[in-house]
Amino acid sequence: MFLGLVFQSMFLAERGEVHGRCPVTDLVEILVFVSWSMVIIYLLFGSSYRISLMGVFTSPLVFLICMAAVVLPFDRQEALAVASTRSEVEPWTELHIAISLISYGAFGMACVSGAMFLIQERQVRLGKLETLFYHLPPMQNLAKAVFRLMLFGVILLAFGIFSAEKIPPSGTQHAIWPLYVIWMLYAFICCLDIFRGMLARRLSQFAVFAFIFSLISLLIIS
Amino acid sequence: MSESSSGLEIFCIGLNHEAAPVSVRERMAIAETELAERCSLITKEEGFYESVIVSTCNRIEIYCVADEKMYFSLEKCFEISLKSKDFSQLDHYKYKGKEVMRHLCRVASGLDSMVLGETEIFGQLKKSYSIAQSSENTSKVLNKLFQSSFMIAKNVRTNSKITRGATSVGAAGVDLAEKIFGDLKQCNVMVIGAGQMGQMVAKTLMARGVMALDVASRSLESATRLAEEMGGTPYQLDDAIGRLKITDILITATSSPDTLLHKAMVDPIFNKRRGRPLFIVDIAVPRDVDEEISKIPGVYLYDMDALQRITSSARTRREEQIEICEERILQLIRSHSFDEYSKDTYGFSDDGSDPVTIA
Repeated sequence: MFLGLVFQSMFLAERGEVHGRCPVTDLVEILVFVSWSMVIIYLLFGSSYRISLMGVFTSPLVFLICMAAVVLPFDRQEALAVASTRSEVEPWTELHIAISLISYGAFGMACVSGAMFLIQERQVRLGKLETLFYHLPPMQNLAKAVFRLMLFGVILLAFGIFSAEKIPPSGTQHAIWPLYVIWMLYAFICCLDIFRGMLARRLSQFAVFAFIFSLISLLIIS
Repeated sequence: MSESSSGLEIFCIGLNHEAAPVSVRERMAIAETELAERCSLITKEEGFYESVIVSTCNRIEIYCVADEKMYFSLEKCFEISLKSKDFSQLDHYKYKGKEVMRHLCRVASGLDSMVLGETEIFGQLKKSYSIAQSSENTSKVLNKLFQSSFMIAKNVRTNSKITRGATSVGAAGVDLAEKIFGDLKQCNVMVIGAGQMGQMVAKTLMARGVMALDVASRSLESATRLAEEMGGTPYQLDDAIGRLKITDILITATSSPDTLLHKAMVDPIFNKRRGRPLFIVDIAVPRDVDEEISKIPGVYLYDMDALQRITSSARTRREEQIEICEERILQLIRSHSFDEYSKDTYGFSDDGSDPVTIA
């Protein structure tokens, strides 16, 4: 995973150099940036909460995203030409985009943890204890990881939205209402869990489906 | 201790749960505090140079280095250490040369245990060896034998699934609890009933360090008696139902002919648990818990049948591993040169069988 992170960083650095700004100018770069965030969060959370097996589930998702980035065409000359016509880099724009996408990385990892929980929970509920049962972490550990990752994402996305509101009228504008929707969705679930308590199964199901919805929202934003 | 460089051999003689019933084994058992002294009795005898005694509830074995000719009077070292004259009449086994290493590796890997793949024997062997070594009853040969065997056994356990899965109902219950909750130290346990199996599961959970244990019964007197035995808090059954709000693991083992817990009783309590899971182990026959309760999201209900399916499946999986482990042991032994002091004239045949001598 660490080696993958190095290659992703090299890709983003190269694209950033071409564009002269944070490399999130098209869907491919956005997806790679999100997957790069997921890997960083995995490396931080996985060892902290002793759920390093999360890497087994994260890797295929990250691989698919990066493969898409490799096969889709990229015209370096055209990108350089476009970059030269752009206005100066606006710090609030860069901050908003970077933080918002890292929050999506956190939501992605919550999705991965949620999927692991649902697999483990199904095996326990049906009494069918197969090979994966012995390797997956305890269900409560996974449930805690889902909640903490979602909360982390909510906090980051709040900063991302705050940064977007600070972008001056002359700065690069894009639709941010999907971010509000995503943020309210995750924030509502986090509050529900904090004040009323939620079944871990429902929380995990939400984490999976909400991330799919979040990925779709990236299409709108990009 | 002087050793002759020629004519030395490694031997093992002993009896286990297959060769002898528990009444014999308990008579032969040697306390840990006496092992060093008993080893010394053997090594002081003419013709014996090193010894390690292994004494557990399921086996008593002596590993020794002695003159080759001592093979035919090995029973003597048992009689010396046990101060018993009738060992020769008992069913026992003895090995020499590479057979000894293979046997020791099998024992250390849990392949010769009553519960296939159990891990306790590994610690017991290490302890026995450590006692003999500290009391200077081992030297080059047994040191190499035991240390190599431990390495091989560790390799076999790590690279096979021989230890995977619980083979007893109690262990299965505890394994599931750990899979659901992770850290059992944060868990509250409730036991309803005086059933032996239920008490066993509860005691195993207590040994893992659960936070609290509630013991419930129809009569407060029997609940109090059980609670004192297990180190918990007694409750009458009606009061205990309300405690389900904070209980994480519920074990039911009553002799009641009727169902004690119904969905209608548990539903309102479960709504107050703020989403925390509830693991119920219903060991009673007939069952104490209505199976409809398993349909409540967040409740994981296991009855005796379900636990026995898990243990049976685990046993089958372990048995499938036997051949793999035996192969691995042979491969690893072959890769260790162990002929330095062994006059082993038998060796291993190509199919891995060895000419074991059973007296």
